[in-house]
Amino acid sequence: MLKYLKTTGLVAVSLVALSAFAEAKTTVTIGELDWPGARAIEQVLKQVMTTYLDADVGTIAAAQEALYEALDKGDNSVDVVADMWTDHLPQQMKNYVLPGSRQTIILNDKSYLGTEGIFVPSYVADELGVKKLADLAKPEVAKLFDSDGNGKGEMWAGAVGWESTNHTEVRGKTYGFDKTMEYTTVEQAVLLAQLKDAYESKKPIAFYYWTPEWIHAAYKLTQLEEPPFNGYTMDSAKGTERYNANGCYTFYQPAERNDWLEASSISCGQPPTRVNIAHSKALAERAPQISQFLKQVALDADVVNQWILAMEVDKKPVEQVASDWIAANKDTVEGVWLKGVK
Amino acid sequence: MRKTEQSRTPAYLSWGMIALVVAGALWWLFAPPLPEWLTQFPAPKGLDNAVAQQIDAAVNWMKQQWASFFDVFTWILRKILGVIESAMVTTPWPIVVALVLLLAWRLSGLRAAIFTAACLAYLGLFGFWEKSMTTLALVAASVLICVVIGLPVGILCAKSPRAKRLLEPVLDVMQTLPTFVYLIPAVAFFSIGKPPGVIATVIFALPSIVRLTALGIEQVPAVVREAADAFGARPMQKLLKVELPLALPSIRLGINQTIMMSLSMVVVAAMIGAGGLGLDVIRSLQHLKTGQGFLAGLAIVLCAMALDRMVRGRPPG
Repeated sequence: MLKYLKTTGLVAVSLVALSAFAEAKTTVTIGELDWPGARAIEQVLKQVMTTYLDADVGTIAAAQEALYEALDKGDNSVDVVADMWTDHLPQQMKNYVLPGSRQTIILNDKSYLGTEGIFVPSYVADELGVKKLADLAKPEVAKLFDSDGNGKGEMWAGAVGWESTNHTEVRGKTYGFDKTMEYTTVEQAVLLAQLKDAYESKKPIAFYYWTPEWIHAAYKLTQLEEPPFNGYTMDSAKGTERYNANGCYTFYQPAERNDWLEASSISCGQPPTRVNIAHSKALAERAPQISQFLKQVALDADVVNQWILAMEVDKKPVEQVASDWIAANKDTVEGVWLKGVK
Repeated sequence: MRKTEQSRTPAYLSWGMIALVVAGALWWLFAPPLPEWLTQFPAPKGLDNAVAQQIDAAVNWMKQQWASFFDVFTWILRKILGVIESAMVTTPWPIVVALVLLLAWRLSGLRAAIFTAACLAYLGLFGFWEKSMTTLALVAASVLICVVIGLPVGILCAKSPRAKRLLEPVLDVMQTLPTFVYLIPAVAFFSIGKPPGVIATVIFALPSIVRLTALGIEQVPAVVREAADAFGARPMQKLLKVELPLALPSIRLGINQTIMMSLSMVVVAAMIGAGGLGLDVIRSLQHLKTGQGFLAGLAIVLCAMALDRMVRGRPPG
């Protein structure tokens, strides 16, 4: 009887062990961001990791800030954030990414470039002749954007707490439209609702935005012109390829110095923003081959834009957009992204 | 009719007031501009940044020292939530519906059961079933924790004025400090997902049950207490058999408020990865899907109302 029990126990234990072994797929959790470009990249990564690397890929949706904190924590609640606009997240870069920091977040080697600026609907540029950002400093131009009747125009500088909101404020000071325009810093969702209303009734509206993004597929928008970027002048940029002592771009974080607004001056367009795929050091330790793959993934803005258009204009489901692209670009996926990964 | 002298404002006061207003208006019209230290508060430059940096340093220190302790706590919470959620999500829906309706009928009568049925039908028909189960699991766990902590603390507050004086400001902070102020730094301790969602919800919803429990017990008439004392009731007997039963309506209201406040935190919880109905609301708004946003918002409202009607109890009579 005892022997019988023993055998049963042994069988049970080995069965459990076997099933655990069978389930020993690497689980990877992608932190979901809510813009279409990010969703497309997430889906492409998910499909490649599932098919080629035998990973079990899950997702969790949360606010960006929370996702980066969780990547830093490295408890596997989030392993990957697929669309990190690194030039917009200086604090996270300083604390978690750059050499000398905690280095708990690892980026892919090649970033793709996003652009940003102040946009108006194309009917404003074409019919009212507002083409340059500096034009907003003229009271008669600013008045076009006045919606509350106080003689000053309104423009959306970005949401509260965004890096770009401070950039817009500094540009206002340099170009002189801080005296003719007022900045709003409502939530992005509120701005999108305002844009929709304005577009439908053909009212002028000016706002900060970026590419690649779906709104350029939904509306005809024109970016207000600025002189081209020719370099950062800050000491913190010394030694990087974007440093230029006589450059047009001086910007200090409000957290860096109290007189940041007086000390900063931006008289040109924003340099392209580097966008990366981020993954946690914890994932790199747990699954080196997946980490290697994530580091080798290389995207460019055209590809991401093409995905966004397929999703937003052709209304294709993101899963199909991703699988179509992977099927058509096996060379890139297998030859570049997965090179040397096994 | 007789007017008392006291109820009228003395004449010299009203004349004085008029003189003050006239003087103010004249000042405003003719006076030289005020010196800067009067129009702008003389804030020392850089004080805010200096203090903020100290707080940053303190938080960083706490992250390094305390994280492993909270990891255990978070892990336990995650497991408990996992059990509650999988029980609610994986149980076939007809069984959940039957159980919920039975509970509503037993607790609060037929009308409540019918209302609950209508709410459940909405959740099912509009495709919110699974998400609302996730959300309700989160709310159920939060409310449970609130009751387990809130009742004893409420009793303590009612019994000890000193404890009440100490806890009052803490409760005020819990109810008013904007959630995101502590939520993002708290990711280092509680990670993201459901555990921090529950913690944020408990922080916000706990004060109401503490306050209403304390209020209910304080409002037990002194004569009733004296009668219990006169019959030789021990403190525990007095609490359990006299005070708590008499405070029950107030406690019930406290639980009701806790449920309502927990559901109002659903959207915030979704921002740190708790998922559920709140996520639907956020997604809809990000993509200008006003209609979708309303449907998801209404689903949250109906969850709250159904729960409220369920635990409200039978109407008197």
